[in-house]
Amino acid sequence: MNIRLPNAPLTDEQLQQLNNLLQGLEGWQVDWLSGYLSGYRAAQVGTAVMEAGPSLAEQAIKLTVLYGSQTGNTEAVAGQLAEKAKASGIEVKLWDMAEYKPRELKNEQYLAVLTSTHGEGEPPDNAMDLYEFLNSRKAPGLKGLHYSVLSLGDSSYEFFCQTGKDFDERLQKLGATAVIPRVDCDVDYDDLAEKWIAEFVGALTSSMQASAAPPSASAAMSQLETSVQYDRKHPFSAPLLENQLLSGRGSSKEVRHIEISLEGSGLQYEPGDALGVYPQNDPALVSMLIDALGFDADSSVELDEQQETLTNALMHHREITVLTRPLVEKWAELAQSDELNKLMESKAAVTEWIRGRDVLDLVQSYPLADIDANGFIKLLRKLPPRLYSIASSQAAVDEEVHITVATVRYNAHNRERGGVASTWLADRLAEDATIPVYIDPNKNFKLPADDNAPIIMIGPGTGVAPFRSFMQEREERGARGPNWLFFGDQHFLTDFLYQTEWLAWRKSGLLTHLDVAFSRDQTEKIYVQHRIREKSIEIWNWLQDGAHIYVCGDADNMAPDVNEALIDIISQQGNKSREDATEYLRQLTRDKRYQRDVY
Amino acid sequence: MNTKLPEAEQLKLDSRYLRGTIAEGLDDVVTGSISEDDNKLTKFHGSYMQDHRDLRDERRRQKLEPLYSFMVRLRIAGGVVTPQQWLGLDAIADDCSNGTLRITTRQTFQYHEVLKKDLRSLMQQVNALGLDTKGACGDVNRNVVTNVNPHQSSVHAEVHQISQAISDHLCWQSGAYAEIWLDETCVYQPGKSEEPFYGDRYLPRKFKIGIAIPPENDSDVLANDIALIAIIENDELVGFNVAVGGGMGMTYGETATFPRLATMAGFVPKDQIVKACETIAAIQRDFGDRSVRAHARFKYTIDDHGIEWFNEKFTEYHGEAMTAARPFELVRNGDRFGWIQGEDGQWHLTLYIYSGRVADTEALQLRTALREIAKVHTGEFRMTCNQNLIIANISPEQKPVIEQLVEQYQLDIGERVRHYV
Repeated sequence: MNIRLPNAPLTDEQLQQLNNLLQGLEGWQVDWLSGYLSGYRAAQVGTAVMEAGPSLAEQAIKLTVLYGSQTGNTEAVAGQLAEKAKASGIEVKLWDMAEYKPRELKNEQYLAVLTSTHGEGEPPDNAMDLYEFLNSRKAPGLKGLHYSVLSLGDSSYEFFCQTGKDFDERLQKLGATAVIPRVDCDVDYDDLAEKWIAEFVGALTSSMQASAAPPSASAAMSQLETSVQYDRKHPFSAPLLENQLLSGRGSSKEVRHIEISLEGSGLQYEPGDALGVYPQNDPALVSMLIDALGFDADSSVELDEQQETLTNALMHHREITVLTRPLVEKWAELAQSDELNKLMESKAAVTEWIRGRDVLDLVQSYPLADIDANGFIKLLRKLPPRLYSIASSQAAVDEEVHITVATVRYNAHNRERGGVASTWLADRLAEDATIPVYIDPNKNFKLPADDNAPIIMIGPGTGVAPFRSFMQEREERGARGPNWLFFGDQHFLTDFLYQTEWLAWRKSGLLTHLDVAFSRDQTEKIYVQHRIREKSIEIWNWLQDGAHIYVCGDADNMAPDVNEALIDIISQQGNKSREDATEYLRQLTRDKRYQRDVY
Repeated sequence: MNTKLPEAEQLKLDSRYLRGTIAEGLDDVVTGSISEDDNKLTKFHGSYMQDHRDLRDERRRQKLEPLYSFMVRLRIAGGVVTPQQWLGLDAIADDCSNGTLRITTRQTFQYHEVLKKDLRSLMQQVNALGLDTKGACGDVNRNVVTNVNPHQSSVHAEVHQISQAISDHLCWQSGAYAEIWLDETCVYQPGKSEEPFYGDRYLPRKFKIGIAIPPENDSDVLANDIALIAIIENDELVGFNVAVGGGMGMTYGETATFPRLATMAGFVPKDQIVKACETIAAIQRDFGDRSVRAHARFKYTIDDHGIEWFNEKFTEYHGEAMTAARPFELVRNGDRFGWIQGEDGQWHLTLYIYSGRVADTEALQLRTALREIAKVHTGEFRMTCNQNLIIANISPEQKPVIEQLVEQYQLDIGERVRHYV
């Protein structure tokens, strides 16, 4: 054997010595030597880093290159920039804008934005998300970010290079500093682009030599200290950031993705926790109720030792959409109605009557002769907060919290009715509204501490929300454990909640398996439990590998059906009696490997 | 050799005879799409993916993928289907697509808005009707179009048979079709050819053959890669004049692309015509420009090399030269609407179909009407290259039955467009 590698970084003499040595060695000796050499090298490098570490880190400039490209021209220029910068010793990350996480922006030091412009000054498709992010309320302060923009366009269009101009203006408004001015290129872009690259890279390298890299945008921002503790009793008034309908056209569902800012609140949450939301009653319902009672809407009532107008009390503080048995009992005492008294004789009859009815129905059906506003308010329960499983991870979204809300609407007893919180969020929330929120921790729905543990997530409908947070968290943590999601809903085309995100995670490898059941896309109804049964063998194998199972969503049908499917799988695949299989699942629960968040 | 093949060529070569990962893509139920590469391959299978553009942005915000669906186009040589086939094709429209059928300018049907989950079912139903979708798109011979001449029924029947023979002869052969769509077992073996004619790179580009029966030129025959003009002597079909290298397509802004009429090459007797077509397609297969896709159509091969070169190659490949082209005259290219009686006494009714769209609307229950006609019709349906429809071979006894249905559904027998013709 003779080493004859023209590229080997060895002198002829060294090569000769090496050849001499290798020729006399047995295979096992070569193996030993190769292990020895890597160990030798590791020790060497370790020392070197300890000596030179800090100064090296100070000198390295990190440049992120983002391109928005429709035809590939801009992408090609971005590639040229990346190469040139790398050659100058800059650490470069090159991103298709569509694949870049906009929230990373605030951690960047140096940024190059290259984009084309389309149609009437519109961004290319792959720049859309970033463009909208920067122009939204979610855009972070970017003080400390150094950037330059290269725009490609066609001067025969009215909005020549508009997207580049927009990016430039927006970055500047957010506090970023231009390293060199933006350059707008026409269809013959090559020379100008080359010049811009040279100047930009030149400016970066000279700043690299001049000083240490500047701190990132987030580090440059002043930290907001907060002394207030927000909790259930003291909810934080959180600004609404985004309220996006997820259900596609033609869906019979109305599910919303809601992003809320926690900035400055100091609120912290973990994947699996819930967000408590204090909703408002529908003002139309409130005024119907006040009318039915014949009260003055502005009259003052006593509420928790404070004075409030009747309208405010009913909108913000008292529950009016749910009838409780104690309320109906108290009402019956006051009403002296033979009919109501007769109804009260049968428990079942009351339960039946209560179903689908609210306080307005009670007031209209059995009017009270003499009750005043204060007396009425005293009969009512406090308006309880609603809990939503959190759909985001702070590791990914920082001071934001996301929830997934299915709007509840139905007709009962000849009146359109709806869920208090969900219709409030869907219909009555102004774009700049704030939402009173707090964190409701859930210790019993937590990712495994071991990042290598496999997890199986079963979350049809809005039950999928916490799993979005799980995936964000595991992605940010770089967790290596395999992830498997079972999702279901009515229709594939319109009800696949967060479809593009699951697909992206499957593509990146984070999501190992994605199985879906759409109940109404075929004649027979198919639900998640059917898919779970189809995958019996693999699920059993995953359990053997220490998988944790999470179930979130409907408690009445889905959760018991899934539970049943799991028992069958354990029993069949594990050759166990039903009793033993049930015990096996119980043990998983005790070991916190089977966790449920069902409602 | 170290030269890298252009993407489209490499894709065909790597596709294992048009299999790619189409089957895996169909089984992936979490997306309505297939991969970009597979989408190029499904064209050979008669289908390609589209998305609802107007909904793209809305669905992106909704975190839903674009609304993907597929167009599927059939191979129906000469555009002839039986009433039974019509009824089957009509049922498929409801079962697997958006409830409409479209007649194309190449005398075939296409379905729109077919969801991925319904593609296999559609292909199987088409197959059960004795039809397929092979080569309705892709770099192979496309649907063979033929004059629909209603009067000379015997000649039309013979020409139609020939168009069917050409279409079948130049149809791609790989087992991919049956495996992907019809659930048959995979027969692929590395190194084993499944395309005796096309080979593993198929043609450089799409390839079109059209037949005209003078004096009618409703098939716009000279716009085809191979233009066949039926030569009828003493009321009998003797063969075809053959012109090559036609094509009307061009790419805007690409000055090297241009429309071109086919150049007359000579005459071929009818019993030789299928083989002659294969020969010509083979010349394009071997000499077409595979390096620049915009320059890959047969018309550029002919334009670059000249007709003399072509005739030499033809003689070399075919073993025999063409004889001199015979005189002919093409005068009309529109459809002749309304009732026409053929030489054999059978009746033919040409209906005007707006944009070739067979659908039920409030104003016109066209699809229902044609379904009712198909239920009683004993002849056949012929689609025209102008996207209209002929109810052909109606016996004199049946004529009043059809007439009654035409009246009942207020079908347009061309009154509204006659002045264009």
